[in-house]
Amino acid sequence: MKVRIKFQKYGAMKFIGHLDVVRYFQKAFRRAGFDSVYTNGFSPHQIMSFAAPLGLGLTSDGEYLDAELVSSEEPKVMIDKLNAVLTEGFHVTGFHILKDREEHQKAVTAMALVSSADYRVSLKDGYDHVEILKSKEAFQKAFADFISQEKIVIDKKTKTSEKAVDIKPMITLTAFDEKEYRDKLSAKIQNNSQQVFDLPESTAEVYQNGIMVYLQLDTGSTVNLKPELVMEAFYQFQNLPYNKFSWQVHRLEIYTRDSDTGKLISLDHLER
Amino acid sequence: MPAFYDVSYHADGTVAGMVSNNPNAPDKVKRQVEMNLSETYYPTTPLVPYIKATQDRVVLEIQRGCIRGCRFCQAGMIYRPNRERSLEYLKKCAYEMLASTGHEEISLSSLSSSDYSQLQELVCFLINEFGSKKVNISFPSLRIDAFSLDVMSKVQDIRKSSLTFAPEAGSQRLRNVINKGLTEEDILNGSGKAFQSGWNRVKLYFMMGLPTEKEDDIEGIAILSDQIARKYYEIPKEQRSGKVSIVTSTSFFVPKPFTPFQWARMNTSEEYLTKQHYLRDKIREQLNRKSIKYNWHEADLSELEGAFARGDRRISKVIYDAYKAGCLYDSWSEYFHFDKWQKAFRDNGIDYRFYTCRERDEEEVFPWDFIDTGITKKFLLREYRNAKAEKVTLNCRQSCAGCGAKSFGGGICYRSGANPEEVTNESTN
Repeated sequence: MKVRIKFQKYGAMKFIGHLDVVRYFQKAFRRAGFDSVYTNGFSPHQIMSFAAPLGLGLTSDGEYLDAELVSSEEPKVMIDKLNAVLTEGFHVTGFHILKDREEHQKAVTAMALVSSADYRVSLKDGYDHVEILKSKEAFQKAFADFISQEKIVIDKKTKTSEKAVDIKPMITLTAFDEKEYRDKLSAKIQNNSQQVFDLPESTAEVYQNGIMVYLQLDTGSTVNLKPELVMEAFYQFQNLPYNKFSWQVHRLEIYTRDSDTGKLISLDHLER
Repeated sequence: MPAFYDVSYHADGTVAGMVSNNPNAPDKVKRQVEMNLSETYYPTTPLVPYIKATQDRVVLEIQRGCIRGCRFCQAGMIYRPNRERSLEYLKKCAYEMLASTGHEEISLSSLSSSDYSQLQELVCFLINEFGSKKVNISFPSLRIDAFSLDVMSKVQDIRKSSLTFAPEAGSQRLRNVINKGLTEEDILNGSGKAFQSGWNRVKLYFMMGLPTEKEDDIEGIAILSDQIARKYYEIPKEQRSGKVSIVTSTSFFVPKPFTPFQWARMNTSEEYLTKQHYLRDKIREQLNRKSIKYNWHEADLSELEGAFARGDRRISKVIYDAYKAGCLYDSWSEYFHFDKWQKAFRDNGIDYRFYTCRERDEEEVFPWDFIDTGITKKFLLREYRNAKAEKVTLNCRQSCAGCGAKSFGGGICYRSGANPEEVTNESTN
């Protein structure tokens, strides 16, 4: 059976890279006594896939991994079993048994479903070297100026090429505080906007300066925009040198987009 | 501790004597030994690194000490007597460690794992218990026989792993000198069986500069490597999987304290380089030269190692001076500055070849003689003479060689089925 596990990554664990997180969960599954399905072949390994790899240094409240198990107990029991063997910095908040794939139906990976993600980008304390970062008001005004441009064209670098891309259409929500974020989010979410309000306690780090911005960005294998790139564009717009270490990026949730309604559904509210 | 002992020297620089200057410091410090390894603490909840580590596995020490008695091996001498952990204890530890860490590999560690008397039972237990969880079992030191190959092909991915033999010396004569009880037949049969089971990579470890070594012995390394390659091509073509790959590595022999070779002369780095070049040329003459890759160790580093291995307290200043001059991370070749080490030796008026390439007199007092490992110097000397006479000494399970470890009152000395008679110190040589 296929299961989808939702977890948080925070604290010092933000420095553990994606591939090490994969290995970490493989070991954790064995410690928890999960009955994993292994691949056949010369070097068998657990069948496990991650929705959208989180960059190094980022924290998250909404990470997803899909795994295949031979058997499972009640989700609550499985969550407790896994949390009992996890270290601080990893915490499981959800366990969903996915519907079996019907015959002739194509297998869907979590990664293929991803189309959008929410981030909270906060200024770390001690990095307010420039005028626009001296106060909340100054930052919000500066960022509002930046985001209200008709087009935001940046040079997007890939491994092989560099091309000018308009990232404006990939930014689907911006907000400066939690209330504004939740209000805007409920309009974008499919059916039960209730899920916006039963979020687990966030593990995001809180900074005294209070300067932050919520961003909803296109994410996934077809279109993908990293929050760091938005911030870099913001600095460019302000003619300021970009310091990537001054911002802490925290992922809040990962969504898929309903093809009929165009609304977002978080990955743990899906049956596939 | 050194402050509690006064050392006097002969005019030639050798140690004259070492006496305690503190009533609480005994003349001889006896090694402490845990005899019952099945009732000791074992760390069953080791730390698991978040980041992939080189040793990404559970390590279970199945026994301590070795029955083999290779004459160059310090661990094989100072960890005597061989003490096995009980099967029940190991099963319990293995279970707890795999459960607590979630590792997917367990290494059954010891100086010679095939000599563990219940290895078959232990491996069967691990396969039954953890096979479904795809846990790999690895053996860092396995003799190649039918059972080992059978087990290894069951528990390890043949495609990924290569087999490692350590013949240590290229000729049977020299293997007798070092008491490495591995015959050419063992090696060739073992590799033949391994090739039939699907392996096509073999690593071979040899030492150069062993006592009594001659050119023939070095050439033997090239010949043996070639013979192993030939063994591979004896298999019918349709059953072979590609080319064979033989990796032959030589390190330079460094005589160690508390071994029968503690009296032996070590080669100079010039001698080592000559031998290395000689072997390289000999390998190039072989039929299967293209299948043989030759790796060697740095000679300078081995010479330093030789000085530290059998040096005395006078060397401490050299080490400190070299450290102050910037010698750190010497194992990384880009940070190894042999000239700085040489200068440190010169500045302290010490010729390191006094420690390395000097055959010791049988009566010489060694700087480490105040440590009593339980293995008598008489036994070590007897073994040194046996080495020069090319005489093999039987392993502890076959017969007691009278090394002195029996005084600890346990282990293999009291377990061997044949209940062999102890050879007294006087009865041979």
